[in-house]
Amino acid sequence: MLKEKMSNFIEENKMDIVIVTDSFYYATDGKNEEYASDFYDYNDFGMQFENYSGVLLLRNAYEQDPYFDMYSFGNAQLYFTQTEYDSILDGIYDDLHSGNYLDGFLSFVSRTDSYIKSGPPSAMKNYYVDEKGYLKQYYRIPWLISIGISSILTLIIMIILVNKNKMVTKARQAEDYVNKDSIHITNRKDVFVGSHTSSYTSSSSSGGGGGGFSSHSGSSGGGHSSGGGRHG
Amino acid sequence: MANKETKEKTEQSLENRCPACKASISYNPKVGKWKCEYCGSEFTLEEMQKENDNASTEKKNRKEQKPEDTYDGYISYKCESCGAEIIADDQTAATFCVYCGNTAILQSKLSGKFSPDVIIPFKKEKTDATNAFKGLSKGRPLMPKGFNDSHNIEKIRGVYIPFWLYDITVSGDVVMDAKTVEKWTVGDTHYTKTNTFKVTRGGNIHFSKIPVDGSTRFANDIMNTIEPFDYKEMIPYNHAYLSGFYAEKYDEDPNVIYPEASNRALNSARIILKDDARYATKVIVSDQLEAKETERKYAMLPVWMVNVKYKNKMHIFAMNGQTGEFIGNIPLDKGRTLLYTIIIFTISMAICILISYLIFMGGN
Repeated sequence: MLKEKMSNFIEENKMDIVIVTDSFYYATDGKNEEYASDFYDYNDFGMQFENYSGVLLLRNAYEQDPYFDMYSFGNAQLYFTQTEYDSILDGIYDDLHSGNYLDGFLSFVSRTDSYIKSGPPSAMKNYYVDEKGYLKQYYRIPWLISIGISSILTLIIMIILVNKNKMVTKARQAEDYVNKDSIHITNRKDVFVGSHTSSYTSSSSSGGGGGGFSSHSGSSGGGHSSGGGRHG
Repeated sequence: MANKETKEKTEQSLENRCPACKASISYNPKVGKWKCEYCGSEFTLEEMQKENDNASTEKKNRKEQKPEDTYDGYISYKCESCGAEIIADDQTAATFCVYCGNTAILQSKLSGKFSPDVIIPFKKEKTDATNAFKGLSKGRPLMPKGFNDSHNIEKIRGVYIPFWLYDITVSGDVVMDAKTVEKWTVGDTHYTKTNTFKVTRGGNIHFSKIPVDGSTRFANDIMNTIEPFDYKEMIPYNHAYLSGFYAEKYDEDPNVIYPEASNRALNSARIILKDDARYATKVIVSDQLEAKETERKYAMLPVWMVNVKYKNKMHIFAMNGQTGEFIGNIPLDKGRTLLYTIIIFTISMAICILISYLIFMGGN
C-alpha cells in the first residue's frame, strides 16, 4: 500500500520519493544529512528526472528517541520552506513516536504530495535550481532601499550646494573677540546627584531544531535542502 | 545763513589736496599712502597733514558758517573744485561731487560727538572687489549662468561704515545637568551605568571690541558676515583717510544697539564655561551671567559695497575693505538645481544597485 502510494507519487510528480530507516552513530545533525545525501546519490535516486529531483525521509534509530528529518533534492527544493518542512515533520511525529510507522510513512507521502501539487510557496518565487542542483536566488533590484539611500544622499548633497549660495548669517556669538588671557574660571562645583545602571543580555545562538533551510552539496555534487530534524 | 524752516544748510567741506600740484588727492589702499593721479607723487599722513591742515584753516577764515550738531534733512554744499552746489543726505559724511568727482568730507558729520575715535584704512581696491565678484562662480554650481558678469554691477562704492566697538566683561555662573556613562560586559550581559551631576562653572571673561553696525542704512547681517576685521591695523582717526571714499555717520544710538554686542558676549561666555566641564552630555539649566561694558569706541571700518542687478532684481554684496572677505546671498538657478537633483539621485541609485549586485554575486 505504501509502495503503491509512493509509485503514484513518483509518476504524478515526476520526482523520486525515498524512505530510509537505519541506525548509526551520529555526533551532529550534519552527519544525518550527509548520510541522506550520500544514500540518495549512491543509489542513483532522481536519475530519470530533471536535476535529480526527489525527496527523502530518513529515520535514524540509534538513540532512544530516534532522529528523523526530511531532505529535498533538485527541483523538489523549490516546494519547501521551513514552514512546509515543519508542517510535514510535525504532522508525522505522533505516528512515528508511538510506533505506527506505516501510518507515519503514509502520512509523509500524502503530505509531501499535497505540498508539491499546490505548487512552490510564494516565499520561493525568486528561487531556481541550477544545472548542478543547487538552490539559487534570482537577483532582484532592491528598489526600496536604493530609493531610500539615494533620497537621503541627494538631500544632503543638495543642502550643501544650496548653502554655498547663502553666505549671509547673523552673528550670535563673539568668539573672535574673546581675550584668551582674560578667561578666569574661579568657581567650579561638581555635585554628584545619583546613578542608574541598566543591563541587557545578548542571546548567543541557541541550539535546537529548525534553524532555517539551506542548500548544501552532497558528496556526489548535487545540491539539496533539509528540514530541521526531529527527535521522537 | 541757514534757513531753519526748510532745514537746509550750506556745509563747509574738507578736502585733501596734493601738496605738490594742489590737485584733488585720494588715499591709495595698495600703497598705503596718498597718491596724486595728476603728478604721481606719494605722501605719508604727516606730509598730508602739514599741507592740508593749513588749507582748511584758510578756508575757515574765508567762510564763517558754523555747522550745528544734528540736521534732520539735507545738506547742500559747494564743491571746492568746480563750484557746483551738491545736495547730500543727512547721513553722508564723505562723498563725491557728481560733476567733477572731487571728494568732499563734510566736517560737521565727523566732529563733536560724531568724531570717530579710530579707523582701519582701506587695503583692498575697487578691482579687488570686482574680481572677487567675478570669482563667485567657483564651487557654486547652482549659481545662475552669467550672474557674476561684471556688467551686472550697478554700483560699486568704497564706504567707511560707522561701527560701535564695545569692550565687555561677562561675569557670573552657569549651572548644568551633566552625565557620564560607563559601559562594561560580563559574559553575555552588557552593563551601562549613567552618573548624573549638578555642575557649576563661573568666573569672568573679557571681550574686546565687539563690533555693531551703527548705521540703519547697512544691513546688520551683512556687516556681521564680513567680520572679523584685523584690529592690529586700527589707527587713530584722521579725515585724510576718507579721500577717495564715501563715509557715513552713525544714526544708531550706541546705548540702544549695545544689547547686540552684549548678547553675543553672553552666548560666547556660556559656551566657554560649558566647555570647561568634561562630561559626556551637558545641558545648561540656569545662568546668572552679567555683561558689563567697560569701554566703547566709534570706528570707521572699510567696506566695498557692490550693488548687483540681475533679471531686474537687486542683490547686495559686500567686501571687507581690509581682509577682502567677499560675501552676499546668490540667487538659486531653479533649472540647474533640478538638473543636479536628478543627476545626483540617478547616480546614487546606480551605485546602490551596483553595490547590491556585487554583494549578491559575492554571496553566490
